[in-house]
Amino acid sequence: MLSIKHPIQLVLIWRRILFVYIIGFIAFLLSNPALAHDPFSSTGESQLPIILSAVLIFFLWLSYTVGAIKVWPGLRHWLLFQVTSVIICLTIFGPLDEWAETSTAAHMMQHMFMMVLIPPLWVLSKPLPQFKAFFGKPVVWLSFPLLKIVRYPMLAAALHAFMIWFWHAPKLYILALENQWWHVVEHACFLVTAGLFWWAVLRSTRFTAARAFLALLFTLMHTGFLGALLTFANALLYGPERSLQSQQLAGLYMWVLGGIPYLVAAFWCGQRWFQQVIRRSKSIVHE
Amino acid sequence: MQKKDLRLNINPNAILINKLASHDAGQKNQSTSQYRNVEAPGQYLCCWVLDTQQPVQASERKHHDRKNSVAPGANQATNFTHCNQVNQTKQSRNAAQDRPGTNKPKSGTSPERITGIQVGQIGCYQSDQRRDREVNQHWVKRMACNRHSTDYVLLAHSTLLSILGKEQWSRKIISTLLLIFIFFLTSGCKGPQSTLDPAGIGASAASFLWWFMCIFFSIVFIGVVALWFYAMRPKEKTLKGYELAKVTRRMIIGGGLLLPTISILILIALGIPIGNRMMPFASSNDDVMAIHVVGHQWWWEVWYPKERIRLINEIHIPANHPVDIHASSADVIHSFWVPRLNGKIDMIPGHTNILRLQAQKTGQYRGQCAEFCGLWHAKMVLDVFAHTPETFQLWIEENKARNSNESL
Amino acid sequence: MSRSEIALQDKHREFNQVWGNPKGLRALTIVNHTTIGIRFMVTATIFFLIGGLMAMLMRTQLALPAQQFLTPDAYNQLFTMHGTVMMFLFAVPFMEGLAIYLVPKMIGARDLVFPRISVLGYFCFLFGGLMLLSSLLLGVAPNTGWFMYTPLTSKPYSPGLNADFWLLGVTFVEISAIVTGIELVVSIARTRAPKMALHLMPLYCWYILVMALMIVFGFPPLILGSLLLELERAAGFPFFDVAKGGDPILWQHLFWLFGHPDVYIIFLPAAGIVSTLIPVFARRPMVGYRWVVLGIITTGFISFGVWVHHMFTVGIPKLAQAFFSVASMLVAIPTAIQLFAWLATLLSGRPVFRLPMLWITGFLIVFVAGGLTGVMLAMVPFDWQVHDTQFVVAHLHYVVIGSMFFPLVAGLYYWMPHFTGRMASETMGRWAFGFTFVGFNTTFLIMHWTGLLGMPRRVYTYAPGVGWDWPNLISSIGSFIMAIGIAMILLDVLLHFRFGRKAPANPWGADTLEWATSTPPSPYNFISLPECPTRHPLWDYPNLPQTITQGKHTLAVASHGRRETWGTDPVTGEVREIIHLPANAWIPFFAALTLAVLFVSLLLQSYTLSVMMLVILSGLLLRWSWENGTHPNAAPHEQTEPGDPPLHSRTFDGPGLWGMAVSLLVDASMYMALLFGWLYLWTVAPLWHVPEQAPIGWLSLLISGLLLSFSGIWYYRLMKQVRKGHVSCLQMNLWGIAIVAFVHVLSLLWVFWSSSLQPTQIAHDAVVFVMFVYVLFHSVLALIMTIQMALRKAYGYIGKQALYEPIVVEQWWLYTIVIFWVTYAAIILFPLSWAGG
Repeated sequence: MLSIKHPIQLVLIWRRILFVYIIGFIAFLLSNPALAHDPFSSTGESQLPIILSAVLIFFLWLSYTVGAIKVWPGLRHWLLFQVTSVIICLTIFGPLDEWAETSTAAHMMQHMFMMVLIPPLWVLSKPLPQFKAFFGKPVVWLSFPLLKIVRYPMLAAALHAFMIWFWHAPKLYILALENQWWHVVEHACFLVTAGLFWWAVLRSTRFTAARAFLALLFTLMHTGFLGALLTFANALLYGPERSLQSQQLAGLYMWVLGGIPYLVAAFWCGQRWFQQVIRRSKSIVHE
Repeated sequence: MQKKDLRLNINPNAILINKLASHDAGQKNQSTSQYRNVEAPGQYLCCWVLDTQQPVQASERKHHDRKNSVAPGANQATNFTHCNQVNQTKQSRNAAQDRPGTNKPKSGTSPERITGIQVGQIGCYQSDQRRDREVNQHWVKRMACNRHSTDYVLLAHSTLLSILGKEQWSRKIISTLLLIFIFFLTSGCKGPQSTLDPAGIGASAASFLWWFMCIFFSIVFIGVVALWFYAMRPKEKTLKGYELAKVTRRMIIGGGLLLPTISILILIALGIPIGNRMMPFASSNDDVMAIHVVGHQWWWEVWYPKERIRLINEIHIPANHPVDIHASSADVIHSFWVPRLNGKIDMIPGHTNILRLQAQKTGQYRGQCAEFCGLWHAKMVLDVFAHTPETFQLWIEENKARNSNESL
Repeated sequence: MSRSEIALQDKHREFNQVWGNPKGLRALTIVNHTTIGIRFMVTATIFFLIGGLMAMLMRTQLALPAQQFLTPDAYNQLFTMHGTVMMFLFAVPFMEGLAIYLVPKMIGARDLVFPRISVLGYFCFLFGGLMLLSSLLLGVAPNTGWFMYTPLTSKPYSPGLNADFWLLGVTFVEISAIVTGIELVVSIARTRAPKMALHLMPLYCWYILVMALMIVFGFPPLILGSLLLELERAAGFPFFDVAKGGDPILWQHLFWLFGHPDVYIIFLPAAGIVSTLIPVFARRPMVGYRWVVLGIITTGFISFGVWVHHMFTVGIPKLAQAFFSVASMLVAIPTAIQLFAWLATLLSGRPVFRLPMLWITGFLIVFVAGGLTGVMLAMVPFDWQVHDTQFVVAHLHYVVIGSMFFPLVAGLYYWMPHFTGRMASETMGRWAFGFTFVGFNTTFLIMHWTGLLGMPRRVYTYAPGVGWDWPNLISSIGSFIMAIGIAMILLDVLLHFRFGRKAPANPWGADTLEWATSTPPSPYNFISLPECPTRHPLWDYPNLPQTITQGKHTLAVASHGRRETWGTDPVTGEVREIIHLPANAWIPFFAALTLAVLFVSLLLQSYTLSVMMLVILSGLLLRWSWENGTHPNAAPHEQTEPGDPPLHSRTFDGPGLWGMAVSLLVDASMYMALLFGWLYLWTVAPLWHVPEQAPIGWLSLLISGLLLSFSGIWYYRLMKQVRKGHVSCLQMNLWGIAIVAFVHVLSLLWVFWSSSLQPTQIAHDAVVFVMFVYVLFHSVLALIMTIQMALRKAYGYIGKQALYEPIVVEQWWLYTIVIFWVTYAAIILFPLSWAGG
């Protein structure tokens, strides 16, 4: 396997690249005239929310990368996090976002990335120690209530479900499309709740494994349900400028493509739960 | 010709004798060749009475029936609207008299007139017509199937007897299956409603797909069954260790995962383009003719919106020209299906579905309701006539003219 | 030596006193799973013969073109009833009956976990079946096809009682299927032999577990659909009426949401039989156990996502068709895994070709052919041609007869010595197979061809000259040959009672625990319950049958008068508690009888009688739930043998908890279907419209919901205390909760009363009405159960040592709260966010 025990060289190179990035990014921000726009009342022309979210993501990435220098996560986790970051950037700033303006299907693809691709990858890359290394104690305090949710997979799933259905209600969906600020809020809701959900599921303990399994099945069912509705709908739910075909395709993405990660995770989770229980019962017998 | 007659007389008469008990005495004086007498006229009567709810004026109907009496239409063999006509070869007979008080609606068209036009024009259509007339007279099915049917009975009988007589039936089963298979191959795929006798773009594609899948899956089937019998052979010892792992891996990964996955991929690669071809896409030339068909219990209302022509239980289309059928229903769910032209599409109240028809040659194509729609579902038949563009134009002009005359 | 034998005989007598089956009229009270299972199977077989007779009549009619043997109406009634009887009265109940008979024996238990529910299930099945068939005698049998498409089944097009018979009768029978499904799930999860971990469970039980779960999720949509359609027919609620904002396609979705999984509900237990028999006759363990289990579960999942392939001609968006086409083909993968696991088992074993294997071979040939035509049908362009033709008829008979009937007969011959203690005739069985197999293929192989020649299905006759004459005649001849074969099986079964030789112990050299019982089995199966730390107990421990009968294993005491079996961990199979089971009782029989009268009164629309029956039924059910837990009739005293765990009613972990959870899954599945209908109509119904003014006040409903949440959360917090053992003010608290819940119910009724709903005018209001009634029903039941708990506390059935029951009710409370707020979001908030058109 690939593994670098002392990635000093890598770190040195990265520091230099980092520096260039930061300088360039700040220069870009300052040169952008869109800063003058009034948030929340503008009708979507504003670039500010995009920039802000970019800053936020960049900041997170930066803190991880710096944290990784202090506490090396291992190449595999490190790479996973970097790949996830690239996917996040592609999802939010790539062409998908532009297509999403007019195509329900592209928008759904964007949402699917945020719900079933980025969060599980992020969870699997286990970035907490690095964040902790960067931020110190405050991040632990801040994340404390969130960490509590993670212990209740069904609660996390319910929260996630609420967010999904909330933002797919026609008026709210259109609101998010028309106003960039709300769009960012929408995406944040998806990312955060999905992150919690996947965390609760993928890193379930032996006490929560059974519930994590149920939470996965529940999520599989209700997202499929929403997908089915979008697939069969004859009415244009999200305004007349999007085609019916695109809406149907969006439904299928959610139903079928979106279902696959949940199903795979359910099998994985079920297997893990089963083995934990069996191993435990065997160890009890041996005692 | 004599030989043919003989053959033709075997089947229907044999069947007819069985049925004579249920024959009404009054009907016996009619020609024995009129096999349809076995059907209770009362049932049709009932059907027609129900039909009177149609929004077609009585005067119009009479008018057309009179026109109808000129010559036997090519559609008579299959169109059940004519089934109750006592003798379709009598030309002087007025159809309306056969069904006193029933007001059978007849559409605003007269196929015989088209026949007249086409006599000099379309050879293919003529021959079709001749064949249909033969069918009419003898009330048997198409020649192609008939040719082999008697042979088959002999084979089947001998097989059955031998099965009953001998103990080694397993071999006999295989031979019976083989015989049935041979029967499939030798008897034609012809038939006025056969999906395997395609005359339209969609139906051709589906037919191709069928033959491909039939051969492909036959090979899979034989392979699996052969493997089963190979596995069932008596053996000395149970496999263990490495050999067992090998068998397991081969079977489950190879047979359980790869075989179906590859088959599915092949089928998808083949099926999606075919499906696309059958769909009513906006084609490059937007010159698609629209015909609205509304299903009723138990008849078809046909409406040409541009030409303002209304028909019942028959559709006239130009051959080699795409036609979109806009299918809907006035009461329950029906399904529009003309097997030789394309697949079926459901006719659902409140919804309009579109099906594209494109006949590749002129002729008459039988269609039938494919979704169970109540008491007389079995009798909900329609005919599609595909004409050459010129003939079709003539037909349009004529019907348009008459329609406008009538509306005045 | 003789002293120990005498002691053993005494022990058996003791067990017979506790477990024995009464004779005469009191036989109606028997709750024993062996008896109930056999009753299920025998009744289903009789229904099968009736259904087969109908098929014979139809084949006679179609033998020749333009026949007059049957009138079209008679034919329509026959094909509708043939499908209905075979699916609802034969295939599913027979498979359930076999599972009821086998599952407890295979997992080393003495009975199913809710024995009284089995009785209710059986009588619901019997009465429902009789109700359906009576329509045939009265000449008003359903005549609109077994999938009852609206609007043909709506009042204007089917004014008679025909459709009502179907809707009510099938709903009645489905109650049976569902309660049995729940029972099987809980039994398999909670009563396996000690140490029988999930991965050591016989494959048959895996199949039954997945089948039962599929029933739990699959049947409720049809029940809901039937209820909605019956409401439309009886009260004029326009769910499926386009003109008033409904949509007929909604029915098709609800039907196939059930209908497709139903095919697998039939197939899976039959495949379970195959997976049980093949290792026995190959004389080696099944190859790829894990793969097969994975395949079963995957089949279960996929089958819920492919119902649209029955609707390819409806005009579904083409992208959806492509997706569903692929999804439908994907089912081939888990099926192929099972198939090749069977092949690998045979390849690596030393197969013996006994009679059951002959039928399994028949199964293989027919089923593979049927599966392959199934993949063909999943090809949308081809389906457009052959959908609703005789090709589909041929395909479905290949699949259903191939995958269900052939393994079933194989299983019948295999377990015949177990049922009766006698062997059936091998020669006659071979002849029967020959006739059935040849007849079947003659009938249905050529039917593919008939379909390809364009013959639609469900036509009572056909014109001569279209090319369908000969194929139909051959099919009819074949069907009569097949009938001879089936008659021979029957004859064989009947004759073997008289002439069959006595079966030796474990005649086939099987590996599973059911062969460790005596044949025919005693009512208590095993006098002592063995541990089962292996997949093949009888191969690994050949002495097991002897040691079991000698009482050398656990729970070998019945002097306390309780029926006992082990309650074990759902995953590991570690012993957790002793489950004590109720004894024979009249209540289930009377409950089923009252239900039958209720359904008949609904059919005849004499609603006074219905209300009366409803009152009686509630009384019976309350009494039923009263004789539970620590009630003297259920568990006279709580002493157990030293070293044994406590009785389940004295823990927090009884099977009732699981029963409630699985029942709520049924409930949730039904609610999901209702919610689907609501949102579906919003987005699809062509003439959907919403009343100008919201029919229900948002504020009053909100207040009502807050009351509900308050009482529910109170209950939840109370249970937290109960779990810790604090029970000082339990009764007071329960009464307090009941009062708040009562106020909530009153407020809900007031909201309902003051609403401007016009459920007969527009589909919107009709659905809101149903949702409202659904919520109300749950609130009322939560109230009743809370009162019952308070009363039981007052009577002392709940106390410091027995706190189990209120915990069971807790789930119901939480569920009620959740569905209330989901309903609130659906009917109050969702319309506010509607922007489409």
